[in-house]
Amino acid sequence: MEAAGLGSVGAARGRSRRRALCWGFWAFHLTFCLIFVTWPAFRTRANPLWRYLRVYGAYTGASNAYGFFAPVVPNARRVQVKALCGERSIPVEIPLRGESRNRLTSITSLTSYRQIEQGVVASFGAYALGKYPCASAALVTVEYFAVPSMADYRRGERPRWKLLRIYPLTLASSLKAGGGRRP
Amino acid sequence: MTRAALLHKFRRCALEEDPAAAARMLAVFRIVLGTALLWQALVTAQDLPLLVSQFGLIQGTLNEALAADVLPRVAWFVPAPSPAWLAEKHVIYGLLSLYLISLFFLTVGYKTKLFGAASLFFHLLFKASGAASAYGAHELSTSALFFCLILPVDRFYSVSARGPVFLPDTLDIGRFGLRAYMSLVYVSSGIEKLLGAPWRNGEAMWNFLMRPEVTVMDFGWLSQAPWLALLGSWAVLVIEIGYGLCLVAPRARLWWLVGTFLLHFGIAITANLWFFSFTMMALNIAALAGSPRWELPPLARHFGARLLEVVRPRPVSGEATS
Repeated sequence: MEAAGLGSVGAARGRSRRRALCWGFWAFHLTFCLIFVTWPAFRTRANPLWRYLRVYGAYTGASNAYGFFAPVVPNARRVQVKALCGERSIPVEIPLRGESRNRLTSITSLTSYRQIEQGVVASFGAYALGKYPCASAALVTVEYFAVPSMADYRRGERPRWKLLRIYPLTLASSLKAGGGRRP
Repeated sequence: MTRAALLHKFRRCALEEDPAAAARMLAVFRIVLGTALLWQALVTAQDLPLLVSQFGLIQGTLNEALAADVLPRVAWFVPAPSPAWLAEKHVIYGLLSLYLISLFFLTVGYKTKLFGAASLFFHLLFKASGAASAYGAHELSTSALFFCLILPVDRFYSVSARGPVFLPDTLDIGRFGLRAYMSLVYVSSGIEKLLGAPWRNGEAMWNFLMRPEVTVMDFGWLSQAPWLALLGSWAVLVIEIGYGLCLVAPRARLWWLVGTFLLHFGIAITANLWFFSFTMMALNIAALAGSPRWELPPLARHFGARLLEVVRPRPVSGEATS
């Protein structure tokens, strides 16, 4: 009887320890998630705490912000590429459909950030030049989808793609061959 | 109110009354999440070299810069002088095969923790290698896979579940934590939306439905009924900000489960974001479904009972005596 009693006390202690550990884990995890949502500056290399917590955040998904389409719904972006083979201009098709198309949308939306835009555009140019070995240059256009307000739509205005920027790109070797002139 | 009474009230509102029902819903979560991830991996398999390789659509250096430097990459597994029989493409498909196998075993519930960890590893590997093309669904499925490791998602509907079911005594805390996490996701998103005037005046809903990805129909007609766009915007705000109620009000959970399902089904149909929507639905099943205090409101109960009376097969007289 006594042994059974001691056993049940031990089991109760074990249970409360497990529950305390569980509460502790969730308190830590949720605090981390909350800090990241409310304080994006926390994620800087200068923050010594972040240097240790970034591993945890990256592997658990805790270091995320969740403002989807907030505070505004951004204009959609589109990147179009043309490979220039001599006198010919060949439109380059990006062969992504279905779910992969959503991922392409994600890539083109990166052109909203000026510090990344040139990297994205250069990648599209490199893809075009790689796909068409005859091409000596590529033309990358960045457009955005302008949606009129509901009132403007009623007055007859319609959504349409508008040109934002055009990037002419060429191979470094072509530039050297041309005496360093810009295309 | 005494401390004990407060604690009792908190337990009653926030924790599980029926742990078995909660564990069943966690198992459903595992299956829905696993299926969504499997589907996503299969439908993007053909395009994977374009999305994650070093010289794909986006140059490897840019993907590298956009992803957290501690995450695994495809490049880790590509030998430096790569022989012809082990090119980057072969490595990508080899890793994809391992990812699919892990997801399959996670979904069917065989050695769930092991294959859950493997699924999370490969999921992160492909997410980091194609960081430029990753979107919200990839982030949320990372969290969802992590929850598969720390929650008892394998107690029901799994190939390895035999004999009596053992439910851990921390299951209620786990579900409460998950519910708190989901509240954080929705409420923070809702508050950020509320800060922008377009969500308050309905223009945001209009802008969303007029985006070029929305191909199900032309929503131009909505400009003739701006109140409908306003209603839609506020419905989203109420669902997102009100989600916090589910933490302490068990009765709210059914309503919010239905509300979030409608919201994500709407997003899936209009913007073709099926992977995102099913990931969110799976997380909502895990957080909200299976509450024993689900009761229909009196009017719905009355009509439900009347409907049952009509459709219930009645015994044919004479059958019982023959």
